[in-house]
Amino acid sequence: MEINLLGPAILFGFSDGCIFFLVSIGLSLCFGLMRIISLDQCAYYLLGAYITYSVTLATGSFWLGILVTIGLVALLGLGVERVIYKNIYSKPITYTMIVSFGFLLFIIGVTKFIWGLSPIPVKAPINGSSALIGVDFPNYRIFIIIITFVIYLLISYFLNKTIVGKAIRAGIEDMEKVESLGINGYKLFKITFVISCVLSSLGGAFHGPLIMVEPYIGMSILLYMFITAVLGGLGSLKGTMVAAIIIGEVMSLGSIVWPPSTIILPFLIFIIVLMIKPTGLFGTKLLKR
Amino acid sequence: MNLMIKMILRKLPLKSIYKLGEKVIMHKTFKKYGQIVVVIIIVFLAKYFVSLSFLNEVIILSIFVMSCNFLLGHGGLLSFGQPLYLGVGAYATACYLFYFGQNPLIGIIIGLIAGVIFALGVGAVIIKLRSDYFALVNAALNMIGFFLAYDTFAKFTNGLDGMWFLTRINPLFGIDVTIEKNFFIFAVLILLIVLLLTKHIMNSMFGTICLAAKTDEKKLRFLGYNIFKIKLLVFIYSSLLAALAGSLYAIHFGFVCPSMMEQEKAGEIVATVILGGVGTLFGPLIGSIVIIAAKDLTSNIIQHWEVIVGALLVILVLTADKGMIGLANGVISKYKINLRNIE
Repeated sequence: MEINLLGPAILFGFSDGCIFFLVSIGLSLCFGLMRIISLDQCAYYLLGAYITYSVTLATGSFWLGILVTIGLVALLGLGVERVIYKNIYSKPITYTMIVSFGFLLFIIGVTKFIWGLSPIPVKAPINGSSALIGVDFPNYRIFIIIITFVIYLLISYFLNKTIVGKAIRAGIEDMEKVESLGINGYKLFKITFVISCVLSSLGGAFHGPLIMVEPYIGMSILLYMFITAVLGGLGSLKGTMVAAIIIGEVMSLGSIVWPPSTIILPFLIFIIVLMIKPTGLFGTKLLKR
Repeated sequence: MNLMIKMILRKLPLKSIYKLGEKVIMHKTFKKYGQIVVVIIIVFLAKYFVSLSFLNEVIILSIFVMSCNFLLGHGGLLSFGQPLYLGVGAYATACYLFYFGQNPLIGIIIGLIAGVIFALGVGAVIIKLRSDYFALVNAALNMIGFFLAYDTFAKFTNGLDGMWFLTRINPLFGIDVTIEKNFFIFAVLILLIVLLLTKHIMNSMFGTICLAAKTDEKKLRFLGYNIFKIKLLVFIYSSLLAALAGSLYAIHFGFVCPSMMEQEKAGEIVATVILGGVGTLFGPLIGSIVIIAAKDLTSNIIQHWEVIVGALLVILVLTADKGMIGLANGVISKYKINLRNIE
């Protein structure tokens, strides 16, 4: 292990962790509030990466791509929620897993059909690198860290200061009492689901320039997303952030020590955490509804 | 089905044949296992209509799907990592046939033993997890297993290239099992045994307790049953079937490689289970026929099978069907024929 690789590895781990955070917070919130395992967040992640790439290719503006992605994915999320999830809220959790996994497969197939199988390299919107602490860091990764931080603050403000956010936090703990206060639970579900989809698609859009974009990244992110959400505690914002940073750093530092550990270490952490504290680092009591 | 056979027999002029036939049908063993025998005969005769390699693949896949079906339908445990247990059986058989011996039957037995031991070790730890954690821990283990096969143990398993041992497989009781025709007879026999065994388990007290555990665990605990042991037994039986399917793959192709344990196959297997009908006996067989036929038919646009599988999963779960078997039952009861429902 070389010391001069340590600095970049830590930063890379941080930025990867930020991407994991964006994708996992959706799963965490959805499970906390609605008791559904929404594996199709990976589908929105995938669509986010591809739609941003296409719009950027067509118009040349990355930011326009982000806006279009947010709009399209929000609409898709509304549609999916109404058609698919509305009917299975009352069923056991296994059904939601199967259905969302089926939807993920469907979207991967559609992506294959529209954009083809070959991996696409995506150009980063911000080039160049700045020197921090004597090492060169890519500006784009610094941008990702900054914008994830901003998004985290926004979500935190939304959940803590607005009525809707407070209702969502209350609903994560006890949905019955929230409904008995006269708040429309179903609207909360819709809002949470659309926010989750948008965040996942942002994660995909930002992750595009860092990896080769191909249809199966939807599958490969699935396990990391789930590990991050579980490690942090399903339903907890702070927990997901901390867990995402941990997983990102572990993978990044592991890759300079022993390359295969990028695959093994997160899973080992997953299994160990499940044995010791099944609710995750910051999770609340085990949820029964 | 009994009524239909009765009506056919009634047309025959000889009353004695009719009486004998009636005795057979009314015998309780036939009532229990008759459907299985009929299905096996149909599968055997199908070799005159479809290609042998298609049938062989269907039979082996249906045994694998039966393992996942039993786990989901009777254990209530969804697992996104079943290909791991397939790989354990396949690689155990492969290592035996590659390094040690040459008898395919002993190879299968070694595969089964490896599957049981592995399931015992893994299951004891992960059965207690909640359903969603269980599914994804299995997926994680699947990836770790895949990685172990192609990287860590590459010295023994030849890594991504896989192990070739087709020529090392000795004839079984004088018949060379690697020829399609002979393997087909062998596979049909094994399918018969598996179907009979699974039906026996499903109809026994244990099967009923499993269904009860799936519905309401707490009440069953009050009756004094040990839920952990029940689920562990279900898990071991399902891994046994998966390892058997793996061993059959190894013997049929004479070749194993880590891509048998790919994580992508896990979703396909769950889709096949639901397509055929969860918890039914013949669901896996029907499901695997449909899936392999669909893959073959769309082979020129092979990129698109995921759209079909994914859409099917969503539609089937939403309409709360019992898969194809449920559809068949619905059609039959619609016409009010007094046939006993297909299981």
